[in-house]
Amino acid sequence: MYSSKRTPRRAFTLIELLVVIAIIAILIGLLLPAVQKVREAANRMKCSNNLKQIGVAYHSYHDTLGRFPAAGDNGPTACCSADAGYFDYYNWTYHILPYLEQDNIWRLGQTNQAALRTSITKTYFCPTRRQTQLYKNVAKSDYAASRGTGENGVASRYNLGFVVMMAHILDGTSNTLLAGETRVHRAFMIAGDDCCSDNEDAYTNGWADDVVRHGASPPQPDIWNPALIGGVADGYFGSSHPTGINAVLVDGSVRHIRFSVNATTFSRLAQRDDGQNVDHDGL
Amino acid sequence: MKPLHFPGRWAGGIALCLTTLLVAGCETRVAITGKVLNAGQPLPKAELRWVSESDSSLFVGGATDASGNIIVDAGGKSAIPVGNYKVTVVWWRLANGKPLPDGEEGTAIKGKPGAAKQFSATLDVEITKGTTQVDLDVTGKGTVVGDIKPASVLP
Repeated sequence: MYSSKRTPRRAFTLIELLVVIAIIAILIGLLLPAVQKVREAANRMKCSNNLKQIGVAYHSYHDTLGRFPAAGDNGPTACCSADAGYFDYYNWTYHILPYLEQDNIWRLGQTNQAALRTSITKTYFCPTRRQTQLYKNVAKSDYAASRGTGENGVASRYNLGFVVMMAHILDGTSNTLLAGETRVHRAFMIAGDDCCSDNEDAYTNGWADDVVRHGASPPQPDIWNPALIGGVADGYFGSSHPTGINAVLVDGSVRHIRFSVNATTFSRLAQRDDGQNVDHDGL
Repeated sequence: MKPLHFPGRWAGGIALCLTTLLVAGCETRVAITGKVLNAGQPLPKAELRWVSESDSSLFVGGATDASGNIIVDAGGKSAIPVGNYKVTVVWWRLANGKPLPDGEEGTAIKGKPGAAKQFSATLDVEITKGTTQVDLDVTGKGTVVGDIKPASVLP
């Protein structure tokens, strides 16, 4: 037997334990929002890096071919996307792939459209919005090129027959929007169909809201309420970030544009040839 | 065993902790109903943008349905945090004054210069704990948005 000489030990009472637990709970409660904020800040940084890559790829494309990539079109026979093999009808997301070091996906698309639709390019995903995976069985893009307020942006519709070059950015490259984040309907992101904003794959969807957006209205946050359906979402820039969108201008600079930006200021930024001054502090 | 006492000072402390948690963890939200009216008529398919004046990171979206009823979209919740807002009501109309068609067709018209006009009106709205009904009257306040000009012929 060991010695049974025990020193008398003072135990914690139940109340003392409860108080300690309560204090720890409060500290965790204070810490969690801070962790969330840091996580969102990191995601936003990643997201703006993606846009920077897209901007640089646009410039490399322009250096090589002397023009910006066309933003696709519907057809020639399919109603709402490009037919297999009609590469000119594919979207800018496809054309700049070799300049994002994704030649393999680009080459795959030359022979197999179905495989292209399911090939994920990580640069096209904003981590705040969603994980890098297939949605509704196809690869998506969270970024869209700007069509101005109609057909006067950097993104040009293939069938209109003109190509946009650096010389056509009449407002100056630092005053013209190149691409930004899209606005999607979160209630229909994983399943269901809200009609147009996020229903097709990134590469072959033709002249569509999936990867081409307009700046006639300022950017808006994503939609969550399933009761909101029927085209209110479509066509605008937007994001899952709490305060605004990340956007890359034609000069390659990435900026954060607030949701509360003045509508006129944003439409002037989106158009490449409106001849109006853009108030950068108001973005 | 010593009987479990619950002295007053402990109870007070725990109550204080719980109150702190509740105050820090909850914000007051209210569910509202109401209509957007233009010249006495409900305004269908308008977009609503609620920009909070006190919290610069708070931005609430929304729209009106086909009968002009307000639908609030506050990040997945349909109740809106209390506070002062600047509400911008935006609506698109064809040249003949009718609303745009739904879906892809409507979006295409938005992108065609001159095919439709975009109107906007901004109102000050205060949402308090007791607010249940918000009617927004934009009569005479709608202004055509932007200095959008048709795409030029490229050089």
